[in-house]
Amino acid sequence: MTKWLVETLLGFAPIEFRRSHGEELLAVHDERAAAQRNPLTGVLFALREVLGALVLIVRLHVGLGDDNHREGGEATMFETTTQDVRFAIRTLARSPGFTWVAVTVLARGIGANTAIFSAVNAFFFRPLPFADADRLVMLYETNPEFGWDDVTAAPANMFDLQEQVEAFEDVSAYSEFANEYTAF
Amino acid sequence: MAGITPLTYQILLALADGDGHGYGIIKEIEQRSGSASAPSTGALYLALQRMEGEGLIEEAPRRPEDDARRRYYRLSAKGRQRAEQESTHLAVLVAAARDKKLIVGGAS
Repeated sequence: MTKWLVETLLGFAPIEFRRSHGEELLAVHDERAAAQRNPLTGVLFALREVLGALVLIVRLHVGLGDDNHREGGEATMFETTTQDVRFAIRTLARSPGFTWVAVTVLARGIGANTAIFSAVNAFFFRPLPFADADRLVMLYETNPEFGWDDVTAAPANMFDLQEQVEAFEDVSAYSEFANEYTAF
Repeated sequence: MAGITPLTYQILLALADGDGHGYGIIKEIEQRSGSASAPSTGALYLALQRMEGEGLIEEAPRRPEDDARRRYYRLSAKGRQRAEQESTHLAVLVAAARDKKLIVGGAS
């Protein structure tokens, strides 16, 4: 995800910068990301990389002052990240229009990625909430007279299957729609 | 440090003894000053681009055996001169700090 964010932000950089430094920047980012061993510093690294890329593109376009905001002396990764966040906010606040466009594109991208991941996860990776899920089968009805295939079973037929067919350990039914019943 | 940023000086220092690439520069800064002091990759390349524009560094020949995306940089004559000036300036400041007993526990 971090690489995707950095790469997306880099897409906003001027074409000359992308041609001269784009691939190399991503390669260095990859090497540094692969070298992260500690989960906490890995998260801080990712945050700093995204902020750094955001500040990079804003400053390539509008050129705001000095490129080194860091105070001297020893600092922890957390302190450095906090400085980066403050610096990024100051820089981005000076270029609100550009920042709005970049953040909107990022937000949409993150949203789309999350939605796709949720769907892929639900369909392919997350196990069904049943024991021995690989032994589950789906039952449909057919009606050759009308040429119907894969028809949803009527409730009465489902109860017949439940009681009379010994090939299945159990039979149950579900609805694709959420129904809400209200008693008057 | 008048007219030069700590990151610029770190890059000049990293390239003072030979050609280097972006990742190598970052590794050297990390080894010298700790990983928290290393710039983000974006900040490094912003500085490298600016320094190339100012004529402090220039592109060195690529190495065929290395990753094709990797560019090498080296100090220009102007960059070396700038690094020497700043190092001399810093040495004077550090000597003054040492005289005033402001350097605690460091090398004498």
